[in-house]
Amino acid sequence: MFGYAGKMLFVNLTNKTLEDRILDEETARNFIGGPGLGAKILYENMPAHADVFGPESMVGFVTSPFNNANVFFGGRYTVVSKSPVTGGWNDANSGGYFGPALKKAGYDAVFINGISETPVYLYIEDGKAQLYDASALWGMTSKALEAKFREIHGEKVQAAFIGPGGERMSPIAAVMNNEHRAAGRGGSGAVIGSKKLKAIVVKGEARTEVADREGLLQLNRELAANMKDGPGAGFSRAFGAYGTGAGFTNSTLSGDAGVKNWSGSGVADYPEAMSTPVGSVGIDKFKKKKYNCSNCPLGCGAIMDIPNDKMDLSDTPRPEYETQGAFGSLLLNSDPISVSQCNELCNEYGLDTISTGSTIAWAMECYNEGVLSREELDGIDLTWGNSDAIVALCEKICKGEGIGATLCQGSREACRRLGKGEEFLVVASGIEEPQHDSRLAYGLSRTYKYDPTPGRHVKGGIGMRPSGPDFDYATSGEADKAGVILSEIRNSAGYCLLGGGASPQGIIPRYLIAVTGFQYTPEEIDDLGVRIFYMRHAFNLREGMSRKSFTLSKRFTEAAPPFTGPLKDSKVDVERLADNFFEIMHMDKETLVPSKEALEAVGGLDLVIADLYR
Amino acid sequence: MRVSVVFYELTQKWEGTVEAPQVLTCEEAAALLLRREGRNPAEELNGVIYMVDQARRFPDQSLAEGDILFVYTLLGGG
Ligand code: SF4
Repeated sequence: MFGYAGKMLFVNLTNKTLEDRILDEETARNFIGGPGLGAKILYENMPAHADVFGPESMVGFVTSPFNNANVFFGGRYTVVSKSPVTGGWNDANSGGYFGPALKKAGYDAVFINGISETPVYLYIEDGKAQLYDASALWGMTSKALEAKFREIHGEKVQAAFIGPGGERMSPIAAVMNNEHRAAGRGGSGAVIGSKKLKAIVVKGEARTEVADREGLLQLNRELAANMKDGPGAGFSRAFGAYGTGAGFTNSTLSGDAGVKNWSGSGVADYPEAMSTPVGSVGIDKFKKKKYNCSNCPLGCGAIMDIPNDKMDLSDTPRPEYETQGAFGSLLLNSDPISVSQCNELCNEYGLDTISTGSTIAWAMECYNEGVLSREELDGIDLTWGNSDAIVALCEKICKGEGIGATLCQGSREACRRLGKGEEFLVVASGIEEPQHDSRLAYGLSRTYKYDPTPGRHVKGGIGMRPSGPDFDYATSGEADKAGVILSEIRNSAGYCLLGGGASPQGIIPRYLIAVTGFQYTPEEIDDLGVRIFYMRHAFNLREGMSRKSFTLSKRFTEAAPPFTGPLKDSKVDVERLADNFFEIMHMDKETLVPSKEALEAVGGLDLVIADLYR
Repeated sequence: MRVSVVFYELTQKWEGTVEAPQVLTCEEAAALLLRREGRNPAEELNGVIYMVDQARRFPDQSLAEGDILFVYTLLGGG
């Protein structure tokens, strides 16, 4: 089969069994890889209502046909599991080099259930897998851990792993690879920690055969030309030089990024003089070299050296836009060194920067509004913008110490445990929000609230285009569905979201056909996207979720007074957007169950149909 | 009328002043300045955010004499 290793590994950590299973062509064709394939496998192999931290809970590391296939931007792999935050489906993807390396080691995916009594890691070399004792590695942070794996297994290994955050089952724990790349969102790191699995370490040299090598190279040339002098040139220049934070100042001033825990505006509370030092242009003086993920022609990453007397920030990754927002504008913090300190801490301890910064923002608003006292915060003076306090609290969260043991549970759970501050929570079904305000880009509200993985800006829908009085609710369903189809296929194929800004339109299905040789018609491409959405969504339905299970904080739909700035009086009708989307996706508006006819029409969902319509 | 336009592009900020005999909308003022610089307004003004006096304005809203129009390019970081 072109584009695939053709083999998946199933590991049970309770009884230490390892089993190879064939990835059949029909499954590959219907679900591609990544979140699509992951959802299909977990649905079939994990019982409904399994305790997320119990032995039946399954976690998957899933590659994609583009991994190791010489597709530009095609290096992303996905971690899938149940989410300890939402209680429903979770998938999160990451770049770097792990995905292609897992494929080179001989597997399209690794799925793990059971619980080991003692810490272990899985080592795969050239198609052979073995469990190793990880007792001595438990507690290690990212850089030291990867160095250790290189020492044990040689320079060419790649690893996906958890840090101390995942070990203590923090629901904001990420799955890390290449020191600073993270499948960050939704808490899969905690699920891996509950299994006492420290890492998957891989090595191998297997090739991924593609169906049409010349066609693929031609697509790469087309993409390169688009980046050089085509419509993708401006984006590629800006993001290639400055990364995702190229427009940080613009985003804070225009109402895109969160300011003051989403209660403020850039123009009033976080003006240019505060945002510019934090954004990528402001910190460019620290840049040492560019960083590219596997086979990426853009390279939005950078490694920096930041001289300072507080923390070793040599060889530290440039904070992403999301991190600049979460530790910068959201906290009214204008000190870039402290943003990098927090970034470094989260990477080393394996926590999601969005959720960690947002949880601090919640605590900060609680403190400044007199809801949390200084004593409750272990003596930390968490006034808005206090950069030393932000780093101190971040460190406590990373280490799970003092108040950090409560805050590392994420903002919603911390709020529940402390019994206060609910009015300052900004979450979607418990997931902290990314740095794109749906009061500016209305369509995001539907995605944030009702995607099978709530609270994500990288999932499908209408997207980040700014909205205004001319926003057309009447046609939102169509646009929403089209965005979902594109996103499901992109994520399942392993294509980087940022590649979209650099690429000619419609290139992903063409790559998919060149790599796999599956001759999808345009109609089949649409069905593919819808099928993968239904598959991810079916996991939630089987957990008993319906429309009322999904929540979104009001701060993401209304900018009521005293709000000032560009979002003043902005109001989005998320339920109307959702109605339109559910209608076009043939889903019941209360139960969210897709009609039998719609499920049958896209095909490949027999088990889902049997469960929903038995 | 005469208005100032301040462009916030992703990696730089620049500004200029435009004049016209008639009342200009936000989009017209921004386009005038871009055209004067030999650039393509149709492409570059797609999806931008306009602001005057710290409040959002929309493309076809009229400006007043002496306004300072801020234009923010927004590509949405990841
Ligand atoms: S654009 Fe950035 S995140 Fe995407 S593949 Fe390239 S380097 Fe990685």
